Amino acid sequence: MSPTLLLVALFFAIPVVLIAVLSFTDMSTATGLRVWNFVGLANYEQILNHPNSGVIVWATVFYVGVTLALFNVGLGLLIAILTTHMPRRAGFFFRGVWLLPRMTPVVVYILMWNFLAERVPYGVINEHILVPLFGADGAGLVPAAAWFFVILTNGLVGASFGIIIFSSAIESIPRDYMNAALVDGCTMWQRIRYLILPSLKWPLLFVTTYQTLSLLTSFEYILVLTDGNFGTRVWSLWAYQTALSNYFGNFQYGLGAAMAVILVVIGVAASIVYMKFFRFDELVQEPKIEAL
Amino acid sequence: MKIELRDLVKRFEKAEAVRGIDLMVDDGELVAFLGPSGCGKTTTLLTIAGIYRPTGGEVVFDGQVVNRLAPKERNLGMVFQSYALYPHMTAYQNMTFPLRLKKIGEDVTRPRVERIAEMMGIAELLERRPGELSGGQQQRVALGRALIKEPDALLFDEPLSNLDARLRLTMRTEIKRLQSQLGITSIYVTHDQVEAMTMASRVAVMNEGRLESFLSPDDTYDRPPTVFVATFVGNPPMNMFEVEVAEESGQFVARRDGIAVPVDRERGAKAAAHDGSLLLGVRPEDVRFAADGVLGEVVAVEPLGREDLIDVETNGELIRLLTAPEVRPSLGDRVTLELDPQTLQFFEPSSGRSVLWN
Repeated sequence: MSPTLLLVALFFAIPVVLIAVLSFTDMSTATGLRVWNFVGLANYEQILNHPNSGVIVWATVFYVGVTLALFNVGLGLLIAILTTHMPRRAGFFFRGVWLLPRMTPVVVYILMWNFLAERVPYGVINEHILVPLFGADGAGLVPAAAWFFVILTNGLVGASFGIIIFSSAIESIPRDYMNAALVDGCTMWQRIRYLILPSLKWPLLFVTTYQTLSLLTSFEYILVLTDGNFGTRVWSLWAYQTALSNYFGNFQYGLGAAMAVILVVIGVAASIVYMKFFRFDELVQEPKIEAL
Repeated sequence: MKIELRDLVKRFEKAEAVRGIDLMVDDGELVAFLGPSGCGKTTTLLTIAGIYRPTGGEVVFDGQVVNRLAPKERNLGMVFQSYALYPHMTAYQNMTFPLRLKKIGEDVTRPRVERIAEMMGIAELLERRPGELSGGQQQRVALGRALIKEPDALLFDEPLSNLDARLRLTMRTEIKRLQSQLGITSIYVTHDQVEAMTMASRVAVMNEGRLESFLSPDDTYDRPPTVFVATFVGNPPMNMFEVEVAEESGQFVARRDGIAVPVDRERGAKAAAHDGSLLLGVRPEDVRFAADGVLGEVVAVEPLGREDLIDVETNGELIRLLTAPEVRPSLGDRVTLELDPQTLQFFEPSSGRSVLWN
């Protein structure tokens, strides 16, 4: 067996198969590893008929879609374009600063947001701005605007990935193209529209796909910020709580695995849709014809 | 359009790329900027295009200072070494891009593109993407894009450097013909002296951000004002060694230990008027075997086909000469060389300036 096959089998194929098999069982804390049974599609049926399923699907779509559009791609693209149109060093500095929250542990990062958003007298925004200046009641801000904070905390960190990918793609556009566009009569804005954005199709596809998958499966910010309360329970968090962490103490591994499998299927489907949408086959260039 | 540079200076954060250049390109003229890489020729061109803003001095179009004008307000066409065709547009879209930016309608652009494509021989390629075109075809499309907006001047940045040798020859002639037909003022940046000499009516030789000479191709070759011009232009490069020139019984002679070279009256008089030693320059084609003259030993023979390049060592100096293949000597042969007295160049060693042509 070649090393590649071995690695693929060890880290990809075997876990996928194990999870898939697990999803057809009733394994849980109650059954342990000894007395579990294959239950066929029962887990999937249970998910389908669960009263919360619909709400959680919509929450997930909302969370992924809005965070992706506004922050991971939208803000990432905006910051990348801005920082590549300022003096080089300033751009480096700005992008470097943006990486700091990504290097901060999630718990610390969310703790800092909590310091901002807490009720009086613990929250900075309430204590120093909303209550003295606007006469607000001083209640915590997260419960009232849970989605706002979930998306903001995720997006600000998530955008840094797009910023790095997009700005390096912009900087790798050959100097000649950038100059040609100006000589041809472009304003800065027209150059962004007609040259820079079309050159970013490939990184856009990559960032969109990659970030969709990572948003679908990441729940740690939500876990720490709201623990899924205030309507912010997304699919991956639901799977985590079902399989590994809930108040009832019975961790339903089989049911959680089924939820994970559904997430994988959705992720693959989304990737295929993106490739069609960006016309992936056209991004792979035709060979050059060598003639006079 | 006339293009004039007045004491143009361009400094970057770390380096001074252009250090005070004065020159005037006449209306309809094709001028070449020639120099080694890093000499500032491309920086100068991009400053003329408006991509860079000058640090000092002025860029003047038809008597008007355009320092602060954005590239789009200058109405120039530019052709790049990498062609710089937008990869996501077809050849047609590339060519019409400058017009579409000006919101000029299809009814005007379509016939203009067809006329230019016809002229360039790319009419049947208009629907192709740059990736589906060869280098030569891409460069023609790029030239078409530069011409489409009927520019006041054309700027060429090493346009042929990425093409193979045969194609370069064809394109050279084509560009030259097109330029003189249309009579568009053109500046052509190149490091290839053959391109510069064959295409331009005047050649601006640049080195380390300065203008070394700005002369016709013939004068650049025959009357080089500096050592740099003399050695950079011409292949193989001019021989150069130190001598002292004096008049000896009515004849001017350039001497160094063991070598005595007769010099013609006019050049000898100017050289002899200069105190101390001088650099003597002589082109390889102006040195020949003779019965009488400088003694030396053949140390290398390189057949070039049409002629041979011979290295002769004489009193610690290496003199290279081009000779007809029929007289090919063998390594180690003792030979006598004659330097054509009418072609000798003399330079002041410390400044590198010619004592003949300044």
